[in-house]
Amino acid sequence: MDEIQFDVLVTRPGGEVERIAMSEPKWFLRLSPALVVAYSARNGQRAQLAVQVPEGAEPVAFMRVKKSTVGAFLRIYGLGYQVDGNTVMAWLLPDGSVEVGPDSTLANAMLDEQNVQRLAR
Amino acid sequence: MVATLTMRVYTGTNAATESAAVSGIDLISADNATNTLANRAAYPVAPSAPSMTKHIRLHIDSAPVGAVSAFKYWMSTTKPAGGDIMSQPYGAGGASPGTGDFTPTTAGIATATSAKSAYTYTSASKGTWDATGYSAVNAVTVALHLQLQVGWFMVAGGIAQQVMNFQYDET
Repeated sequence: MDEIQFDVLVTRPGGEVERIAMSEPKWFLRLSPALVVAYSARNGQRAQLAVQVPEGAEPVAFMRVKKSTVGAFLRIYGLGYQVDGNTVMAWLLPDGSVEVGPDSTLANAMLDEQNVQRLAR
Repeated sequence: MVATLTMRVYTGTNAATESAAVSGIDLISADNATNTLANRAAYPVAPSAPSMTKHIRLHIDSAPVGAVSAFKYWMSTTKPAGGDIMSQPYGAGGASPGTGDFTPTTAGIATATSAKSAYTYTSASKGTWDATGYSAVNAVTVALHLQLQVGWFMVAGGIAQQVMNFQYDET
């Protein structure tokens, strides 16, 4: 599956939208303040994900890489916010689907499916 | 630019000799980083005698924009009957090859030394490998020790290939 290149779109409290490339230095420090944070695929063809950030919450965005000892690999994109010591996350998966929760159970299942296919070779 | 991390095996005194990137490991009676059928045949594990501990770390080949952190691991396959793979994070990460490790041994690592069956950890309950964040090229995580322990009643022959998953977060 092709690796998707994402930018992060941040809607500021004044309404302006800032596009941040995840390759820019310290990009993750430029998320706040935000009303909405979103992933936007560079080619514009793939699924996007947007999360509304509650007042007083800190937006977060990062990638989670999952691998195995037989070479399975996938990368998911997390987007969410931290408030009162809790982190709320949504995940964008390689197939464009979205899952909400502390981790993506679907991504774990996809990794195991890759493992089965590799063991069968 | 996204980071590239590879798995390395550490052998020799204080497990300080770093291998090239590997895509699999052999849990055998010898201290090496080879992953072949011939290697497994040459250095079998006897019943009731633990394998040589295998010391692995994740190595940053190309740097992340920010950092990589929150390293976790879990098993994808089910525990073979009569056998187990013990696991324990150990030592300190940092510049390759890391520090604080001990020389690989066939002495059994046990729950008394904080080792746990790797099969304790599943996708729903992952084991913590390393909570530290790293950003520099050639940095490595803490070591993860793996050791095959088989029961006295197991018969000669191979154990089906086991699969361990791992994950980390990247900014």
